[in-house]
Amino acid sequence: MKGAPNTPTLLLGLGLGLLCAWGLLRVKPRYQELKRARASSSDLARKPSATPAEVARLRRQLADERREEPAPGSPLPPGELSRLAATAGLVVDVSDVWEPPASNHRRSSSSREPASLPARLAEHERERVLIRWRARGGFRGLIHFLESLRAGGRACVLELSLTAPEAGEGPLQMDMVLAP
Amino acid sequence: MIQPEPGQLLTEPSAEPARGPERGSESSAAEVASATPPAPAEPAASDAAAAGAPRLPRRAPRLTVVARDPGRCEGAVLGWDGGWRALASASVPASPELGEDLGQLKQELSAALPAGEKLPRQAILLWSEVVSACVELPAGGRLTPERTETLLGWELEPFLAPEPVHEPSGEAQAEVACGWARAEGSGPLLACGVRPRARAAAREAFARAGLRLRGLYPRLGCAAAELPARVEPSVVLELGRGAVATSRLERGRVVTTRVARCAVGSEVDLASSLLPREAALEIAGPVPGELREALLGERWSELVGPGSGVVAAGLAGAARHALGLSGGARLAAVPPARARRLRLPAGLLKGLAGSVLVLGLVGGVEVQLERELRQARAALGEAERRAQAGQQVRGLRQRLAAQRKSQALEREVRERARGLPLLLRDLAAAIPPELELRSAKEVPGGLLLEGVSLDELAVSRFVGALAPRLRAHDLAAGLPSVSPAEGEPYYRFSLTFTRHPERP
Repeated sequence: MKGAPNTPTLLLGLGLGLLCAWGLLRVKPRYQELKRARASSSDLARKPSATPAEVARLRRQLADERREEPAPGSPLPPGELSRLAATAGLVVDVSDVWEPPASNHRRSSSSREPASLPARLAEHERERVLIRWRARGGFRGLIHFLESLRAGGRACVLELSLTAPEAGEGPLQMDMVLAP
Repeated sequence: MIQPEPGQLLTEPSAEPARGPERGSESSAAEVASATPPAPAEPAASDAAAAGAPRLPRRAPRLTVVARDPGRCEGAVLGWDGGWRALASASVPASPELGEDLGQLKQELSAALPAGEKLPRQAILLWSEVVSACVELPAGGRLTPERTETLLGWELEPFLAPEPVHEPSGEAQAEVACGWARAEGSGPLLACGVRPRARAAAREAFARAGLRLRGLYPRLGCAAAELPARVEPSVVLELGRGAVATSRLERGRVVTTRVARCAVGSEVDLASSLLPREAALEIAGPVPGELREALLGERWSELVGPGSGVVAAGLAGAARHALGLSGGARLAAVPPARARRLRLPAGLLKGLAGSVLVLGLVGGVEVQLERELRQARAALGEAERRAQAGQQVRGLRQRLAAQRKSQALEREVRERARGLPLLLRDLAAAIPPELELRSAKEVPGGLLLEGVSLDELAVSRFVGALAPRLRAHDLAAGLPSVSPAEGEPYYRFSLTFTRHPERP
């Protein structure tokens, strides 16, 4: 047929086409890897970044501030709290684990009422167990108990309510939240 | 262009080889037997060697030289050891076939060689079929070899015998097989040429004889290479069988060459008529006695060939060219075969070009991609390090905030442990006798006190006494609420101390 390409031309074209296909196959993985690398770089660039110097500075700051603050005392051993109360003449009527009030625990962020110290402590140190006591005793005994706690180490009365009997006679009713 | 006369170059009928009954056994070192003094008995060179001449060093170059014209076929074995050494020479009448002559010459030469010498395989042929001419080339001769050969072929074609009709062959594609001198400088170019078919026949004949043909030279005119380098013009006269050649040299370059034909036996007369008038005359040996007599009174000198003239100077000149010795560059020789040039089919060339292009493209893209990939990997690594550092910073800030909060809480707890007994003491100390405190409650905002009092003033005094004490505990007194108790002779009051706003 006139004008039709001859066999060598067809073979030449076929060979070149195969060569081009081989080249594309050879180049394609690298191109895709390049695309992935660029996309990953772009994603990472959107994330907050910092320099190693900043990390080192913060680590130093963390260590410095930890060193500056004295270590908290050790918690009282089990039974020591009751022993101190008994020594101070306090009679413990109710002793249970303190739970933060639901209203405080789930208070809205718009509330301006500051959270109590036990609530804040319980929220920040969830593993720390707080104890609610209802006890009876005299005022001097209470003072003595508080000073014994202070001398003992870490334990502290975080919240305290005192109620005197109506008749004016008898021991004070004490509701307290303790951190042993 | 200076060229020989075409009519003179053609082989004359009278110059046909004389086939005597003694063919094959005649041996001589002289070229023109009939016109020269009696030649020494062959093998002359071997006689010289036997006479005690020093042996040619083993590494010295050696060459078999064959000279053939329509009448005779001569051969010589030459060696170079700072000067020519003729190891053997022989001569046989020319037969129609070169191969026959070569076979006979080979036997003669082998027999004439000194003991321990072998016939060199490398050989050259000085042949009357090869014509030479000096040609002025365009562009100062700075042409490609193909173009030069084409131009020289056109110039030499008229002087060659017509090519007989033959079937086409690859060798006969070029009309004239050419060679040219490699002399430096400007001027006419000495070229020589032969029919490709004749060249192929000679090559095959040499191959059959166990020789390797290195070049084809004109039968006459090669003695010019033996002339020492001079400044003044010189003319070298060379006598052959029925022909006389003259070559004019200027500044070490052959500028004209001419071969004049005559009847066999008339060479001396022809040579006498060709004597130059304004140049030094050199006659290639051996010089016939008749010519010596004719030149009495003339100034001339003889170029003595190797072996004290046993071998013609022309053969030595061609050997000088073949061995690449000084002076040989003046001559021209036809190479034994056409230079093979790699000619690839056009389709293959296109394919190769396309393949190279595609491969180059792929390679270039790969190199570029690899470079960009390296940069992208480096950027990715840096981004990962920065992002990791960012996460670490965020974690560290959280830890720092948590630590600060813990520390603040611990401080507050310590402060409370220290301050609560003091607060209670202050509270107890501030209570007047007219007032009874019924309850004291810590509320998230501060401290709520409730109690009873006999009069309102006692409440005011209580507040007045308590407020300064509690201010040290960051508690600010509010206004007391005092109201009479129903059915009781005293007042109930409530008092709120709020914690300082800055200290929640």
